[in-house]
Amino acid sequence: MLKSLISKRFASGAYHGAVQISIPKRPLKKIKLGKARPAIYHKFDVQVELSDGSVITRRSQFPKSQIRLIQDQRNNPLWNESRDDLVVVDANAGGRLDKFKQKYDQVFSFESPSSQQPAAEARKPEKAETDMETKTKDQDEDDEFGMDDYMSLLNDNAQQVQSGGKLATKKRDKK
Amino acid sequence: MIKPFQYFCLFIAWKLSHFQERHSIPTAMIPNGRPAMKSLGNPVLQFVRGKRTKSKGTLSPALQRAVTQLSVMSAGRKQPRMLKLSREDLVKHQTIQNCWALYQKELRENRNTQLRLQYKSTEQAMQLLEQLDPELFEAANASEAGKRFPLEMRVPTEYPPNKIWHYNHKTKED
Amino acid sequence: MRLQTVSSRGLATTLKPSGIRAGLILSRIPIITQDLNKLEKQYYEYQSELEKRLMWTFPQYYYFKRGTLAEKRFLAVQKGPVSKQPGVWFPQGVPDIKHNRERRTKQVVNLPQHFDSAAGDQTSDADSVSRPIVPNSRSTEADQTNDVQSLERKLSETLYLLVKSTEGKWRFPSFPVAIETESKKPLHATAEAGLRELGGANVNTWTVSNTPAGVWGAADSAEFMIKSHIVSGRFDLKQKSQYNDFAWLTKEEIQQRVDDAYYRGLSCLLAGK
Repeated sequence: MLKSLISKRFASGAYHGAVQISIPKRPLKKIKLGKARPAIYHKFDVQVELSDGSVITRRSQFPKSQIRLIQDQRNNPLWNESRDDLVVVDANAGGRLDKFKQKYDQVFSFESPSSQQPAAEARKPEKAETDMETKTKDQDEDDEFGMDDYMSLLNDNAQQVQSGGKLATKKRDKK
Repeated sequence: MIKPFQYFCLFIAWKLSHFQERHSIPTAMIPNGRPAMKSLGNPVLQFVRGKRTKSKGTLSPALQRAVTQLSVMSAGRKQPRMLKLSREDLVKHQTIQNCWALYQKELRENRNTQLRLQYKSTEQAMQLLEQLDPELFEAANASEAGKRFPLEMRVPTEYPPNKIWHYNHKTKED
Repeated sequence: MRLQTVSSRGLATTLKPSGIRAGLILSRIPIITQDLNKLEKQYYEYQSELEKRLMWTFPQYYYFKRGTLAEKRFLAVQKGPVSKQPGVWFPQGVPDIKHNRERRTKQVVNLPQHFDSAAGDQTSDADSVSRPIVPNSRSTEADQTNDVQSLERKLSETLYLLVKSTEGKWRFPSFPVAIETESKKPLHATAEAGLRELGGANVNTWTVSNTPAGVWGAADSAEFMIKSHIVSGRFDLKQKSQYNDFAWLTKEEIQQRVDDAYYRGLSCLLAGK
């Protein structure tokens, strides 16, 4: 069976341009009883800092000794309903891209205001128009299914399925 | 799924078979499989290695490459040596494992007795409550389906967070 | 939980519910993991060393592409194994090397420290995302000063709220259940309302169950214990008429403060040593 699998693996041509080769049949080497060895991959001890500053240690195959989580359960408002002192760090803050932007943002900034200005000018006449327009706009916004709607769904106090309902029973053959 | 280790086994077995093929030439030259020393009339046959005509076995280069790649990836090359414990070390290891098993058993028994006591305690309380006040008993026995675990409770970590306790909780009035 | 109903229903109406009280076992669950004892520490170390010895060679070619800067940095900190030489005596045994790894021992892989402390600017070092991780201390300020009213002490153990009555006895807080049928509330509601009356409204608790976990006292002054957890918020003694002190204590400390019979009756409900 193994041999056929191997030949299949090579014969299937996994990627374009691969030469189809089939390895000749070889006698199987038997693994004696008690000689099989489990695959124990190399793992590193990783210190993981959660977003609130607590640290856990876990093992990982990835060669890195420290990992910092920026967003997780501990600063997500969904899991912290009653807290208002949560700090959410921007994922790109302090990174290479952020440093680059800090340095060179002024150089490329001539593009952004020019693109914003026409949009702002276009908005001004809209505001001056009648209330009818704004009403329809509000309706449009209501129709959009935003993030808040998901939040309301999650906040619903869902009821657990109570016991004593209909249970699946084995149906008898009609024949 | 075939494990890389099995690939490796296949490869080793295949190598061995080729090795035997290549080295079985001298015995094949002897007629009837008789040992060469005993035939006095003939001069003693000696195997002389001639010029190698094939590069490596009978495989095509592409196939050879695939086999080499498989062998490099194979588990056998990544595995450390088997642990060979001396008798004394083995006894030490077994002692450690036994000790741990005993310790775990002790913990488990403590936990089970505590659970049993807790159940008894609840049962006793409910029986007394039923005698004293059936109304409260009904209320205490009411179904709590749909009750949820609080989302704000946290699993213990190895080191504490920067802000250990949130003191400034404000109860929302609704 | 459904318990067996006792057949003596008739008896129930005859008894007068004079002094039923709802007690509250309010706990703060541990914030950090348990402290390991000596055996556990040694056993875990032994097991992890065994595993390290049996781990396969680190597949460096998989994580670091050839010729990249990352590979260079990684290779720079590696300490290569001693290779086998003909005619050389090796006191530690003949090396057996495959994939640049000494197969007889565990493989030590050094990882490059890639948070650049010297090269990075010092201004945003304290709150930069790539600063090295320095874990907080497992023992806190409240541990040093032994501030028993703080919730930030004994982080690795479960703490319970105890109050000191005016007679000088330490007890779990308990509240009388209203007898009148109009204002009668279930036990857990009484306990929760009582706690807020006693310690202020700004406390977030989660009551485990409506069912009492235990009972203390005989029929005429039974105190039914409701279990609850504090999630956040502060408990401050507001009324000082009935109780005049409170403390967050571990199981061991409770044993020291509470009289013996009380502890024996309720110790099975508490977590800890």
